[in-house]
Amino acid sequence: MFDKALLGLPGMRKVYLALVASSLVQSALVIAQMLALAGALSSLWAREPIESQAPLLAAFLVCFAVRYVVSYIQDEALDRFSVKTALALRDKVMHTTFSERAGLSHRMGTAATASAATEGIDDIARYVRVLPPKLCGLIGFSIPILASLFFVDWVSGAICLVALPVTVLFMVVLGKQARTRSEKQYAENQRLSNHFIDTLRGVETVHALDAGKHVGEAVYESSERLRTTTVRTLSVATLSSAVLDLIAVFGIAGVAMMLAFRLIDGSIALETALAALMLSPEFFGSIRSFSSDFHASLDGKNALAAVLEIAEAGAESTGPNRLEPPAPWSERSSLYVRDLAFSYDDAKAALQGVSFDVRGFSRVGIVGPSGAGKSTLVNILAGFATPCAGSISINDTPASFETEAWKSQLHYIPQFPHLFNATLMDNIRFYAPHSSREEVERAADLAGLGKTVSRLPEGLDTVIGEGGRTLSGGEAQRVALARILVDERPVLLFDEPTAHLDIETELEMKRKMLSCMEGKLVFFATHRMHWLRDMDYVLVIDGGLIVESGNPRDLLARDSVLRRLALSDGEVAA
Amino acid sequence: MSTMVNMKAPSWLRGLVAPFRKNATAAILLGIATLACASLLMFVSGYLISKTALPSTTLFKVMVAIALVQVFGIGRPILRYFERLISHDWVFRVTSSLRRMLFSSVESQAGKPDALRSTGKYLELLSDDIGHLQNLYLRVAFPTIIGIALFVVSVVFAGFFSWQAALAVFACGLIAAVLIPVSALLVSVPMRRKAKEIRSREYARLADDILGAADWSFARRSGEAAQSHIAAGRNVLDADAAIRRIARVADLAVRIVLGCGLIVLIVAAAHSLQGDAESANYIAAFALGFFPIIETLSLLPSALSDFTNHSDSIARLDEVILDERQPSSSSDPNRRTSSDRNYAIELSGVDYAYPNASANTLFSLNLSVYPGQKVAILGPSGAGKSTLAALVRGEIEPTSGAVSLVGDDGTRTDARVASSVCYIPQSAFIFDQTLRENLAMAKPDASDEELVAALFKVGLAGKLAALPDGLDTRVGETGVGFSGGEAHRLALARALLMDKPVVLLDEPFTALDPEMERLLLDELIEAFDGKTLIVITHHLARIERFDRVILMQDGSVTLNGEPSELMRDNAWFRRLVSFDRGVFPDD
Repeated sequence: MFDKALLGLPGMRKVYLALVASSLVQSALVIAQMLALAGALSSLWAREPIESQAPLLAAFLVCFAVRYVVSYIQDEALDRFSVKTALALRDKVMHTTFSERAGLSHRMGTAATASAATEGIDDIARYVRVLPPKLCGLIGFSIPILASLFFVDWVSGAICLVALPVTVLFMVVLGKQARTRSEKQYAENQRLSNHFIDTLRGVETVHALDAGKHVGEAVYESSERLRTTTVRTLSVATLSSAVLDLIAVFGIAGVAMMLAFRLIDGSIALETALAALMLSPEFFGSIRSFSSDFHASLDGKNALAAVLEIAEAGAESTGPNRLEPPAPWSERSSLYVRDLAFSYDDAKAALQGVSFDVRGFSRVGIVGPSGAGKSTLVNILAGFATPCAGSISINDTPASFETEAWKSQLHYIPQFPHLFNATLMDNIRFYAPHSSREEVERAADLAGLGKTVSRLPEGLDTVIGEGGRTLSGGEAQRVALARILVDERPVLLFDEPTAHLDIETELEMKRKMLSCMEGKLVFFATHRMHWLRDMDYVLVIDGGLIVESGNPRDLLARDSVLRRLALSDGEVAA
Repeated sequence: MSTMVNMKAPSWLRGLVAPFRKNATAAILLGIATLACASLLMFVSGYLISKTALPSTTLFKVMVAIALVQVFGIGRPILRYFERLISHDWVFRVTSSLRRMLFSSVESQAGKPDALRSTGKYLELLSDDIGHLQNLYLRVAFPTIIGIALFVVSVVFAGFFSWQAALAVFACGLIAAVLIPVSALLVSVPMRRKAKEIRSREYARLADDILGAADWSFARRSGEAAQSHIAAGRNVLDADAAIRRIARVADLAVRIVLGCGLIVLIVAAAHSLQGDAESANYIAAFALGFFPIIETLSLLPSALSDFTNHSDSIARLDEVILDERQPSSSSDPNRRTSSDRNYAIELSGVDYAYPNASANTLFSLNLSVYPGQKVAILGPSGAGKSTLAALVRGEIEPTSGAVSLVGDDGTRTDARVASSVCYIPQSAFIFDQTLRENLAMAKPDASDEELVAALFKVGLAGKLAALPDGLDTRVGETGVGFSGGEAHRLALARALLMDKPVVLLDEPFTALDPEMERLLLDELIEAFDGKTLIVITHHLARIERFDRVILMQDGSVTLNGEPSELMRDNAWFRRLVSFDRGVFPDD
């Protein structure tokens, strides 16, 4: 119920104070309203003319209306605050996600980031709207109402006061049990829902296996099983709220009967009795609302924790890496990497003792079996991953791959380049948004997109990507190539760019890529061995180590790891 | 109203709900009784203390009233308890049927090459829609029906005592329970639509940009992306806040109207009930009994305005669910033909054009595959390979020409009817279930021995031995993970269990590294020895182990022959092979 993270949000303490104040005002209005109404009703009962009661009835109506106006203003202000708070957190998530350090969102996981910035933010806003008024209402509303009950009629007050600890006790004992159960049930529901999504995802397989009927029945049966257990859980969980209800109505009925007994012996006036009878439901109602909306709080709490974690990761990362920017990579530049190591989450090292030297415009192939550490090395070179040990120097100056200075010299071409949901033109000039149409046309042509452009209904201005026209893997790779043609940079980093293409496309793309590599420093990770002959230098990685390095022709000529790797790649056309 | 909000349930939904009509009625009646109890508790209490305030009243005279206070008091929580259980049970029953209906609708459309986009996000949406439908009933339909019924009941009840009081309740109830909620709904419908549009546009853009976050960073445009999403986020949240404001205003209006209604009720009651001391007892009873009604009716505007959120879900489900659909292919008993016969596959003069497409995908294709042949189909993407595969599987019918399976006795059957083809899709999908369930999908009545034998044959014996609970181990996303190669082996095991004479694979193993790809191709060729094997591929790996290579380009077969023959006679093929394997300098 109490969440430190929530209290720690800026301005939250003031909000709590304001909410208590607003609850106090509302309770005062409710008390006044009920006293006025009780007065009017008892006079009407005594058959006094209705006209004489106009002032009291008017007073009731005014208090009644003002109370809800105050409550409206409170909700409105809280709503604005919740939006402001949620937006401030969202802004932080955005800055973390779209930071110059590309690695960050890479590390946080794209799905986690996206859900934090969308549903997570909504959950937090709801949490801010739901939880504080409950706590403050208990202090600022329930307690004054209870006090007024004592003041009006101590017996009714006492009945409500006795009901309070019983209510709290039941809320704690039954509530806790019910919550564990309903949390378990909630998890179970989530599981079934995921299971259902999973089954839908595999629907092509189900169809291919002719198992539609069978699996459809299984879906129905597991859903029905869940229904039985959910209803069983509900029968316990609902019981606790039924008990709370029962205490409340027993309280009200008890108040009514005790009032009746004392009215009979004349020890209490009708006006007092009516006031007490009308105030007691207000008291129980406020206690009741305190225990509702459990899931909104739970989701909000989790979302807040997740968003704060992302926001903090962004804040942390702005500090280090204040190294001198290296001069642009040129013919005379040099890169020394010594004893680089990396491990994922304290696991066994994914990469260790990686050392190599690169000078000028050379082409460096990175090869090795799957899982050997190729991708890890590529991620480090691209600045996505922070090595845990080792040193890097560029032009004899200590450097880091995570700096803006390095990344601004680099183009990274992954296996599946991301195509933005934008026009083909904007996709091509993504790295150089100010390039002219002619430049884009020329790049598209050079990259072999001519056929694609003429196929698309609006040529370069056709919207592609998710939600637009889909391009094939080969076309996506051509777009990536066109991008780097529009915005020339001296270093190119390829990560397995052709493995998934059909052989003809691969052959064509290879020619185009090779001409792009002229006068560049190139890192090229691949398991397609035909690229080797175009490399000046090759790093062979296995088990997280560089097991061999050198000129590929030399290595292939003798009995080397590279040769064995190459030989396994089909019969060698020697 | 119907012009802006479609409140009519589609026929599939009515069909789903119909078998459980009794439960729904029971839940609604219990709901009305619950709320009536709450109101009557206050009504009787008000009467009780008014009556006891009369000097002549003895305890004996109010015994009935005291008993009623207890009955209504205890009645409310108990009725409410059963109302919740019954309504939830009802909704879950409907949900189970809906899940089955949704699944079989998606499944029956799955084989078509132009099938519904089964992206994860879309499927999650569909699954959420089921939750929305549950809320539509539990939070919108039931409370609205119950609230309005309670309103009618209270008017009739008040009518027994005083027609003026009944009129007062009716007038303010009409404003509070109908007029205000409906106007709030009408005002908020366009706002909600707009808010939803803003939201989904921003969510889509955000997902797109997060996937491309590295590109933004390399382009040194991260700040630009962050700023644009910060501004868009503001719009999203502001649009929602505006809708909440409407609901709050409506809520305030309802309460003030009901407050005024209470005064009118008291005045009306005073006029008609002040005649004698006994009936004057009912004035306070009416006033007190009205408070619970205020609470119930003030919930209506927000319940009703939620309707638009849920109605989109119904619309989306409506698109996917095939109403009164034809029996799905899988329920046709003829589809499960056994493998004791061998078939040749013949395509003669096949043309195929996708519906609404301007050009043909396939042009007068002639092709024969003999029983037991191993055929590799090559070609660039868009050449028509997958369309060819769908034709052979009988998922689609040629626009002209015929695809037939020819038995060894010369009988011809149409591919659509025969289904002797076992198809292994590109992604080797592992369901998040036990290994046994994953395998049994291919053959529900298979014995454990058969399952284990299939696993041995595809080289998963070691994996099976390493699993903690053997066949009962949970595999897939939340269970024991399978590597890419193992997942494909599992798919092969399924194909073995299906035991069809023709096995068709669409670009298998391409996501694997070349070594694994070659290994699996070898295993595949051995495991399905004797069966007809058609492999669509764009790699040349192990091409020499196939009996035939077919090259497709622009919807036609441009090359067709034995690999060794093609190596000898076709310069183009030779060039591709040497490129593929050209590790060593050929100079």
